[in-house]
Amino acid sequence: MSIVSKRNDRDIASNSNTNIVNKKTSETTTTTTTNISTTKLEHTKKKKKFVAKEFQSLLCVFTALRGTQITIQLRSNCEIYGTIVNVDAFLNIELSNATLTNRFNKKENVQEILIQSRNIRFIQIPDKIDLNSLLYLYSKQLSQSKKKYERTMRKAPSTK
Amino acid sequence: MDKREEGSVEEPLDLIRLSLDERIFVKMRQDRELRGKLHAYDQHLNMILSDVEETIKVVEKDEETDEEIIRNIKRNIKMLFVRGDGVILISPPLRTS
Repeated sequence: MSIVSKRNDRDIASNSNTNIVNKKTSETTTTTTTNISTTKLEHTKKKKKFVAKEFQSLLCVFTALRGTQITIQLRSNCEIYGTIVNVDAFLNIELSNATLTNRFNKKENVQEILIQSRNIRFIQIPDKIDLNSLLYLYSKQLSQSKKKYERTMRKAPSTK
Repeated sequence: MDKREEGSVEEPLDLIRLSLDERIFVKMRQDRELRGKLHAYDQHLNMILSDVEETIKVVEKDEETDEEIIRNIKRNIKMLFVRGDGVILISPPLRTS
């Protein structure tokens, strides 16, 4: 994770910092105030469980979105449309097959581009995408790779 | 600290936690305003909003009369990630309780 989050480790221990609403629970409940509070209660209960470090910031959303096409609006009002190749801990984003549109509506095509996170204002996520299922798949992937890693770690001393 | 009650506000970010899944108002730098349903946030105030209405205030100068005209540009975005460093304030919806 990023240096920033390491610095805030103590804060993170006391409260998980990312809060993602489970869409499914919110959809099934009606919009009366009592039902809303129950979904929140469920949510706070979930929060007390262990939250993997990867899910303590919104970074996980973009790692889960790898391979999808997004539009990034920069602070300079420039817009970039492209496919996510990779995202790092600082949210610097690498795009491929990108189209740059500057504020005078001039277009330019670029094969690969790295966007420094400081310059990002908004990121438009295509609305067809179900973020919850993507995040679920990503968390599964993570736990699997963790298990694999632990297994290899256990094997290592026995082979010597 | 562990037994945090539902609905209580103990630190500033709790106010935002309580407005999860509700429509919020976000004021951004450079006279931009957002209204949308809050889906997720983190400690940097990065946010994911849906059904966003963005309002940009643009000041134009009339060349003939030298008057300043304030124009609002609106646009709608289905799903939007907002980077936290541009956020000035977040206002939760009004509660009738």
